Amino acid sequence: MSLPVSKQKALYEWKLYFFIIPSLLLVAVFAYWPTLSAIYHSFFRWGGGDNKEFIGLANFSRALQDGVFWGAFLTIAILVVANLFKMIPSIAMAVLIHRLRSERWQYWYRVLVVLPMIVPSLVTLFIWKFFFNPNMGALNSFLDLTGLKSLLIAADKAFGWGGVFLDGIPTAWLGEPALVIPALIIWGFPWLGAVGVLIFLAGLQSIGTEVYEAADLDGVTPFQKFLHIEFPLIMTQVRLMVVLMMIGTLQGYGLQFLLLGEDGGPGGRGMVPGLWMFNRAFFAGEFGYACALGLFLFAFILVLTMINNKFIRVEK
Amino acid sequence: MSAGNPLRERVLNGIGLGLLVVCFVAALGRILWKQFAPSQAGEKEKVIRFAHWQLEGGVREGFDAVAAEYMRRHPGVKVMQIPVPERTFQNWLVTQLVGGTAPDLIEMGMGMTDEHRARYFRPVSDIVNSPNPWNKGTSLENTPLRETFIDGLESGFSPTLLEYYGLPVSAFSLRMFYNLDLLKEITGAEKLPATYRELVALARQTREYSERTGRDITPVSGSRTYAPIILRRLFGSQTEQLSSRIAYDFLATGPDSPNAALLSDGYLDGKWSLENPEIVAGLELMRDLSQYMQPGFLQLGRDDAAFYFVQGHALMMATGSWDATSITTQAGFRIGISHIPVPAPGDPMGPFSLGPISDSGAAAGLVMGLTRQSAHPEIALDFLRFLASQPMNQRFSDVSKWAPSVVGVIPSSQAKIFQPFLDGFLGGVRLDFSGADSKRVVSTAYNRLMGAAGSTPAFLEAIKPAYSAALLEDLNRQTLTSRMNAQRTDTTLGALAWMHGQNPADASVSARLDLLLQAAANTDHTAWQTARARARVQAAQSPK
Repeated sequence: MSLPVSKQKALYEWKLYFFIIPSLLLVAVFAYWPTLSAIYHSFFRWGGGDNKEFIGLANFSRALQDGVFWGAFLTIAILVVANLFKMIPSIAMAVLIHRLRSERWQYWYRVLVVLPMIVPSLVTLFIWKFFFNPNMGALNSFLDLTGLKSLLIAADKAFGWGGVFLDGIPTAWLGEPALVIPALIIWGFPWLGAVGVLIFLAGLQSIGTEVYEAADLDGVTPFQKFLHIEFPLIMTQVRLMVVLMMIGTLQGYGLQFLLLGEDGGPGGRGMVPGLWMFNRAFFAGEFGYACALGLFLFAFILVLTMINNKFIRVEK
Repeated sequence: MSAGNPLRERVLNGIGLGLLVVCFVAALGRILWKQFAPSQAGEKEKVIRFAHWQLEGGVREGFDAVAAEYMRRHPGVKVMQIPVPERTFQNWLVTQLVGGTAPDLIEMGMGMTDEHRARYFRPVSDIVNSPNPWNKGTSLENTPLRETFIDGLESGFSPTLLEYYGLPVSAFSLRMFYNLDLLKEITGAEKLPATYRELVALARQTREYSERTGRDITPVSGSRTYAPIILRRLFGSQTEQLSSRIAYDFLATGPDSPNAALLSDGYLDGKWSLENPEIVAGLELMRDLSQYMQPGFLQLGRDDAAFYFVQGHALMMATGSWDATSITTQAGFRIGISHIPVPAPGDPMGPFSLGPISDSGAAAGLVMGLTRQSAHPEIALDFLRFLASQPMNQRFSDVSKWAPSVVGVIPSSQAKIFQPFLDGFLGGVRLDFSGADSKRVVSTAYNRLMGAAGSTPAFLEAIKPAYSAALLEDLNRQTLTSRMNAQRTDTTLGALAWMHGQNPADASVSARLDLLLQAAANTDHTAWQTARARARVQAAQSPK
C-alpha cells in the first residue's frame, strides 16, 4: 500500500513528529499498556499480587459458562433499548434551540443545557440516590402528591406485578427486584444530555438555510421538517451518539454500583457485565478472571460497533 | 487573524511558551522541594504515611494529636494521615499494594486476604514478646507488648499464617443507640428494655404511637449496612449450637473467621441444611425485627440510616462504637446507648438461644499494619508502637472518644458503654460465611425475607438453588489461596531448614522454622479440607 503523500513530503518537516511523542507516550502508557496487561493476565489465575499461575484458556471457558455474566447482558440489552429512547429529549431540545429565531436566546439555552455539566457526576448520582429514597425521596413524594401512586397500585393489582406498589407503604425503588430496572431507566429524567444536545445542534447548524426556505415554499409542516430534513441530516451525529451510548452502557457500572452495591441489588437484577467484572476483581479477588471477562466485553463492544457502522449507513 | 503582523504573533507565542516553561519549572521545583528539602533539623525529612478508613467524627483529630506529639519528639520526621472513604478503601488498598505505592502503615481488614498480608505486610511477631519502649514509666513498663492489649493482640494475629501483623488502636463493639427524648415521650422511661422480648414490645408500642399521633416515626432505623448488625446477631443467637456441632473448632475461631471449609463441607455433605430448625428460627427472628424498620431499608446506605435517625424519624438504630461521636454531635436530642439484646434461653421467640452475645469476637480493632513498601520501616514501627502505647492510646481515646485498646487506659464517659462485654456467648455462623459468592447469593435475596411480601420459605426458596454452587465457588477460591500461600512459604522454609542444618543450636532459627512449619501444616490442612469437600460435591454431581 502506498502512502497518501510522498516520503519526501512526509519527512519535510520531520521535527514536527516530536510533538506527538508526549501524546503517544501517554496513550501507550495509559491506554495500550493496561489493555495488553489485561490480555496477558487473562491467561493466569491471578489475585492481583505477584503470584500467578498460567492456566491457558480456563478463564475464558469459565466465563462462557458464567450464568451471572451472560444474565447481565440481558439487563444491558434492556438498558440499551431504553437509552435509545432516552436520546429523544436531547434531539428534541437540539431542534427546538436550533429553531429559535433569536441568536441571543439560542446562546442562553445552550448555556442552560451545558450548565449542569459542571456538577460532578458523582454528585448527580447521590442526588438521584436520594430521589429514590423510599421514605424521604422526591420520587415517592411526587407520586403521592399527584395521586399517581393510586394508579400504580391499581395497575399492580390488575397486572399482577407482585405487590411492589402497596397502599400506605413507601415504594422501595431499589429494594424490589421488579423495580430495579425501571429505576435505572427513570434515572436521569428528563434525560437531557448536554453533550448529546450540543452534538445534535452542531449537526443541525450545518444544514443550509436554503433547505428550510425550499421546505417553507413547499408548505412543509414543522414536524415534517424534522422528519424529512433535520433527522436524516443529523444521522451522522445520531450514529455517533448511538455508538458512544452503547459503549458507555456496556462498560459502565458506576451507577449500578452506587445505587445497588457490588452484588447488583435485590435479586441481582441490576447486575451488568462491568459490575460483575468489578465484583470478581475487587470482591472475589479474581483479577485474572476479571481480565478475561473484560476481554469478552471488549469483543462484544467491538462487534456491536462494527455492526452499527456497517448497517446504520448515512447517505451523503 | 495576525497573519499581517508576524512580530505580534512571535511575541504572543513567546509569552505563551514562557508561561508554560515558568509553570513547568515551578511545578517541578515544588515537587523536588517537597522530596528533598531539608527539615528544620538540617537533615532530609523522613515522611511516615498511615492510611485508614475511619472518617467518623473525632478519629482524624485523635490521630493528628498523636502524630503531632510524635513529630514534636522527632523533629526530622513528618507523620501524614491518609483518610480513605470506606466505600473505596478496598479498591484503593489493592491498587496501592499492587502498584507499589502503599503508605507505611495501613489499617488492616476490609477485603484484606492472607495473600495480601503475606506478600505486602511485615510481620511484627518479633516485637510482641518484648515490652513497648513507649510504655516506660507506666504500669505496663515491663509487660510484653502482646499483653498490653485488651484482647491479648488476638486482633493482630493471623491464625492461618501464624504471625502477628498489626497493633490495634481502638476497641469496637456493637450497641443500640436510641433517641432518649423520644423514648421518654413514648414510654416515660429513659432506658431501653434489657430483654429481647421487651424490645420487640417497645417496637410495637412505638409503631402504635406513630399511628396514633400521625408522626413519622419508625421503631428501628435500618440500612444495608446497619440492619445486618442487629439481624445477624439475632441469627447468630440461634445457630451457635449448630455451628459448634458441625465445625469442631468453631469455638476457637468464632463467627468472624469460621472454618469455612468445615462448615461448607458439612453443608455439601448434608450434615446441615437450610431447613435446619436453627437456621429457620434465626431467619424468623430476622424477619420479625426487620418489620419494625423503615420500608425499603435494604436499599439504603449507612449514611441514609444515620440521617434518618438523627433527624428524629427513628427511635433506635444499631451500630458500632465508631459512630458514637458523629451521632451525638449531629443529633438534636439526647442519645442513649444500650446493649443489643437477643432472646433469653428458653424464650420461644428464639428457642435455640444460649444467652447474651459477648463482644469477645471483635474486641480490639483499628489494627494498623506495617507494609513492606515502607521506606523507613524502623521509624514506622516505632510510630506504631508509640500509637499503641498507654499514654498515646489515652490521648487518642480522649480526643476521638473511641474506646481504648490498651490495658489501663481510662475511657471517656461516652466510651465506657463501649468497653467490651465479655460475659456471654460467641454467636453462631451466618449464612454468608464462606466468601464473596455466598454473600452475593444471600444478600441479593434479603428482600424475599425482609420485604413487605417476604417470608422465610420465600427466602429459602430463592437462595437454595444457588447456595451449594456459591459455597463450592468460595471453596475453590479458598483452596487456591491456601495453595498459593503454601507455595510462598516454601522458599523461606527451605532456607530456614538449611540454616537450621548449619547451626542447630540457633534458637531463633529453630523457633521460626517451627512456626512456619506449623503454618504450612495449617495451610495444607485447609487445602485438604477444601479439596475433599470439592471432590465430594463433584462426585455427587457426576452421573452414576
